[in-house]
Amino acid sequence: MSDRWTRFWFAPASPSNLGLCRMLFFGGMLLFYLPTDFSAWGDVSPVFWQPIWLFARFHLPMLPKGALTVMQMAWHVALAFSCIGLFTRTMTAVSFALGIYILGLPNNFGTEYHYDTLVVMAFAIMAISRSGDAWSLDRLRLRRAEREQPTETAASGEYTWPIRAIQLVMALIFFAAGTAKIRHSGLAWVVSNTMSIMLVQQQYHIANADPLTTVGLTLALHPWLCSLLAAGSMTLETIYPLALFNARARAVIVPSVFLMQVGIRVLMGPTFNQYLICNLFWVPWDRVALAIRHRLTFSRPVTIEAVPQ
Amino acid sequence: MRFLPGLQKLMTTAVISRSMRAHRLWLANAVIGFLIIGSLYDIVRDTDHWPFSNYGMYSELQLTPTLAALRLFGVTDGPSPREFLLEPETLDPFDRNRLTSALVPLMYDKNKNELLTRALRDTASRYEALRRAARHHAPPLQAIRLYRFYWQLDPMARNVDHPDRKQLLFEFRVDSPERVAHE
Repeated sequence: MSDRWTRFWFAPASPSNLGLCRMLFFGGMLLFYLPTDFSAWGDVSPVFWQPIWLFARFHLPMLPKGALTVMQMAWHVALAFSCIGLFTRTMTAVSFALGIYILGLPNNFGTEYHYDTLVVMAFAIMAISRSGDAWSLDRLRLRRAEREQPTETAASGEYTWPIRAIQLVMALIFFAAGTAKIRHSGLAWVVSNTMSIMLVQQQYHIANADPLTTVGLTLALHPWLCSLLAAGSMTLETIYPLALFNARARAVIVPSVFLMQVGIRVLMGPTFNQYLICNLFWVPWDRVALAIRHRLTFSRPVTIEAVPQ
Repeated sequence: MRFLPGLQKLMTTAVISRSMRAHRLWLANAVIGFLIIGSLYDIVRDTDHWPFSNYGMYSELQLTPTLAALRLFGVTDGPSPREFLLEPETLDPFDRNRLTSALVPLMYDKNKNELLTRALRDTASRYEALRRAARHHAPPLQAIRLYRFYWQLDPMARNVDHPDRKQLLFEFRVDSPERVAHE
């Protein structure tokens, strides 16, 4: 058991994949959150303040707008530095420390959304990881300093567990969503009109965003199709943890759930963009980079210089 | 020779363990354990401890094609006042769902009139600040009204703006400290 655990989490890997994941994840998060002004929450009346567990337990206060503005700017800088891999260890830690407050803050007003939970946990994991050992300015600086004897970073379990841990968090989240449906409603969630009714209800402006289309209304007219959608969603969510252990299951489950979340946005409204971005942790970027490099090398035209006689 | 695969496994594990320092291995295991225990706790107990959660949204059965929802309406200022649904861009940083959810506990508080007045005064002042900053182009308000709407769902959602029944729960007048509470 201990052997299996160790081999699963800490099988030695090169730092490339984790480095590329870091770059894409923090870059994606910076672009995603840049247009959102979290400092506006500092102006909201305390009458709305209904602290969630995290804020109540650790006595985190509602900060004024000025402090939030500074905090938000520092967070954006930390995300940018984490993306390019400059002072990576410190900047990923700052991204997490500021991110958990900034992303948690809106949930103290009215209702808890779960769109950012995965992101916060991924920030925590990246803050502890050694994600700056490849594809980073830190690495370039180190190489420059070691110009006389450049050393390659050895394969290590340090570069495996952070990616696996983020995949684990995704698996647990979807597993929770699937089991919640089974626990609260059972098979009736699939065979009743629940999905069809929900598809219509979502057109009445009840989510954080309206559906992108009215196709949900057309689907709702076909109860068998709605039951099929419900069965598919519940099954995929519940069996998502299989993607951690089985490559074939991964190839089916991960893209299917990605499409399911796109479908939710299109048909029902709720915005899972952060989750969609976090799917990048399932992609073996080092192999993708290698394949691209190969393709570029082989597609480059060969020039033969004429040698003067 | 039967013991060889087992030995090989043990050696692989030893190599893996050597590739990380002991304290780092311990830290990584602690983080992984914390994530698993935290998530399973909320799943088993059916509770929420953000960022952990049971992710129970949309898990309840819907048996009747009906809907009840809170709606915030603005009342235009001027000689012929007109009611209109407050759009998300007028409520920033709230969205519609978050704002109405935030009003629910206030509605059931024993000081509900005072709390709702404060809440809607805040909503109205942010609406006006956003309007003056040209963040939306909705008209000035003389009042905000909180309704509960009841619908029998239409398969094509044609009655979104025409509920079967609407109940005025509270009204906040912007230009005076008066407010009207409705049971």
